[in-house]
Amino acid sequence: MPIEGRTLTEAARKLQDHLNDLLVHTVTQTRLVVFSATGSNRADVSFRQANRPNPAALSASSGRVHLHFHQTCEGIPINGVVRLRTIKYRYTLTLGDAAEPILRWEYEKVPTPDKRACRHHVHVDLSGSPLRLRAHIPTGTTLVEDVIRFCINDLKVPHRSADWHDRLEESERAFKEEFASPDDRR
Amino acid sequence: MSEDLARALEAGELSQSQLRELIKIQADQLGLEYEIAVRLARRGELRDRGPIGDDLEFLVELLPVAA
Repeated sequence: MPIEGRTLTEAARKLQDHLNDLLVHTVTQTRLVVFSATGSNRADVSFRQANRPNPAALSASSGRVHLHFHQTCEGIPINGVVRLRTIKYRYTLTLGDAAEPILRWEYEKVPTPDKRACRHHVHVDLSGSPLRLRAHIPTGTTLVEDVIRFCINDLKVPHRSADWHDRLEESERAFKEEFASPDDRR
Repeated sequence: MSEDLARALEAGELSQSQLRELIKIQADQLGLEYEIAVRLARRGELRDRGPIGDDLEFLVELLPVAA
């Protein structure tokens, strides 16, 4: 069953609670915050402290990295409830105090007309390579679970519970089999 | 940041004027006028790829299209 609520805020809070529970048992205590704006059927989910973005600081084997999570969800009224669907996400990893992330996983359901990159992609700076470009490398849907797994497995960020892997698997299964609407899979 | 905006963020529901206030805070940090910041964010053309520019781009997603 997709994530639904009586209101957009209620549905978005279900997503927030699910993801915060996952994060606190895997890589960070930094909490995701959700809010919507009147007159809009969209909600923002991100790491935030008051009016500022607040990326999660993680200790990787190579040093400190910052994980940032941003997602825009849309509330679709269906049969008296509001169903949540993702219309845009961006997960980034930034090394230390660098100004720009080294990795950006992105999705935009409706890209601006002059943007023709794959809707799901990872943005990698290859300007120092023979290719000399900032590449949008195609991916399928990237779940936050995938990024957390990458942080623990590849960056050696310490996991926060012994069952982190099982929690990621269960969360991923829930997303694919319960939460996702058909639109989320495209 | 106004107390009203802080309370609204805590509650998870902003009015459109509070959303604009929040966008203006981020635009100011990037040295951009509000209207210019919104236009660049909608085109995905903000130069700042750090957390502030990122935040601005996603906040603009909550504005009505004509705003």
